[in-house]
Amino acid sequence: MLTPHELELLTAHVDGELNSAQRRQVAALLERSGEARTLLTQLQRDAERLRSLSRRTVPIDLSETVLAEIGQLACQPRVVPLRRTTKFPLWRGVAAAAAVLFAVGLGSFLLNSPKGDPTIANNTQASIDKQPESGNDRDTSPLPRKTLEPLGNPNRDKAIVKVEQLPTPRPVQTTPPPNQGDILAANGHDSATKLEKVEVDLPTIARLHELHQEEHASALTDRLSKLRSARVELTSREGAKAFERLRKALEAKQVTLHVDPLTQARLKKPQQKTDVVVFLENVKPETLVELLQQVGNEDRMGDPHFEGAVVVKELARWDRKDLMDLLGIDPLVNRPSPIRKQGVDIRREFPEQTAREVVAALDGKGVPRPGSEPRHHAFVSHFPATKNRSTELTRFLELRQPVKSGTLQVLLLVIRHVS
Amino acid sequence: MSADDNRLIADCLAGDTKAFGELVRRHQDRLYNTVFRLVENAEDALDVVQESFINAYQSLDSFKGDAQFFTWLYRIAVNTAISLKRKKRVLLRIPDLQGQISIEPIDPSEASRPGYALEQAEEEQKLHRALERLSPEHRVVLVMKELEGQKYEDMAETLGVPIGTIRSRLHRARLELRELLERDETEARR
Repeated sequence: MLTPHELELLTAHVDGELNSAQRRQVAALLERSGEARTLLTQLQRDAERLRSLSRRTVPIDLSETVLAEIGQLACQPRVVPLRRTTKFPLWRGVAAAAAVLFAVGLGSFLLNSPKGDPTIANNTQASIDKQPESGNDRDTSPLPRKTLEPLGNPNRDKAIVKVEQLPTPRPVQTTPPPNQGDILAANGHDSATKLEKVEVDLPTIARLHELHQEEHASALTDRLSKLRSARVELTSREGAKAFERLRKALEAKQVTLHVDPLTQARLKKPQQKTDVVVFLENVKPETLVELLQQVGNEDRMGDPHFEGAVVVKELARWDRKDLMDLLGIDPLVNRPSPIRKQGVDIRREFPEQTAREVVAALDGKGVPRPGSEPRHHAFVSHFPATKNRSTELTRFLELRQPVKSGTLQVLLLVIRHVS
Repeated sequence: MSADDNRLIADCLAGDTKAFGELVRRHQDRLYNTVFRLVENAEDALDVVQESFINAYQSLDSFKGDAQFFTWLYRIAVNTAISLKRKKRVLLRIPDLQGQISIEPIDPSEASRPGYALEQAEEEQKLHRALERLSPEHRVVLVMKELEGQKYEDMAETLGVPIGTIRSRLHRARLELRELLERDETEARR
């Protein structure tokens, strides 16, 4: 049986990191121990096996992607300051530590001294007398005054070390006083352990490949009709191919896609795993269901790229945070205001420009004719996204439309399936 | 190579971003090969390599030039890979051996031998399984030692731990790997 030291010598020998004395020890060990010889041979063979593992090469040239990412991040090599200016000089820290040590030392000395020491008695009393105190704290007994009060007296330390109490952290959410019928309060639980009532918004799960069936489609439409915003999650093993299918369906629904340039670069390389988010607004529930139906039908008929489950729920707080990171604004709060109808003075003539625009619109050119469906605009990015403002994002934000009743703000996610 | 790297770094710091592209092309394969053995997944390896290059670019001016650029880059990549492995430790992964990654045999003449590909794949699978079971700390020292041929001292510098720690990690890693391979061979014989 080899000792731990002998084992260490053998592995270090395989590492090639022995000094001459250790090498001699190993030689002696190998000469006398068959077990050592066998183990060393096995360890050397394992090392050889690892070294003969095939060389892996990058399947794509990463330089282009890396440079694109750098360009998107608009990052420059950071300038690291040679010295960090400290707002709190070192000497202050040392002085504060020394003061605390002194105070603790003095306190402990006074606590552990014999009770009858008159010097300490006088000093301590003098300190006590300087402190404002309530009448209850004064010793009125006829016996000699105690120089040190017993442990556990809350006022004892006041005389020796003034301890400043840190401000109590303000609770995040103030809890109303408990009702009389509150069982937790009645059982003596304090406010810190009080349970909060949490409402959980359970997601709806639909089958993408079954949405062509009327019952499934109408159930999903009903659910969506009750929401103001929706997070729609689709899972796929192949993010890029799955997004391509979604893209076609969106474009068929007259949605103009504003794709982040870095996302475009990532989508061109299917080897890279990419989660994609699509944000669009003013979508009717039935339009969204039709869109999903179309994706589902194509996926069902052809080569399936989606896993099949569609998870739908109202946008949560963290979705909004992600959206803020993505768009730079909170799209649920920050909506373009509706254009007010301007009063028309019928006594004034229309400008020629207006007249031309009206004629063009009636001919179906330029400005859309009243009643025609406006194009939707969607912003597409990979996820998690880099915080940058591309021209595509700026364009998307410029084209946002005021809120329309009965429509949804939709965050579509194509997420890789994790096995 | 080092002198060229330094020139490219200087160009890059002077604002020539394309010079960094050249640095990426020079080192991507070597870095990827090591990182692949650490994360055992082609996609993750690509992500780690890419992220390492971006991190390196952002910290390029802190590169002192007293070490080789690759060593410095390697340190960034290893730390990124280890933190990724820690995050994913709980996930069960199937080694991606049928991926689109090219496998280059060490000896080209070996490749033409009948049955070579199958044997190589089986051997890789065995080693994959064993490496996969090692902790990230143990796996990284084995990979650094056997794939990169690094010395204790270099490894200690890269990982920011004392040389004694490297020695003991490597010691435990070798014995653990031996045990795992032996168990695998015993099961195969049954």
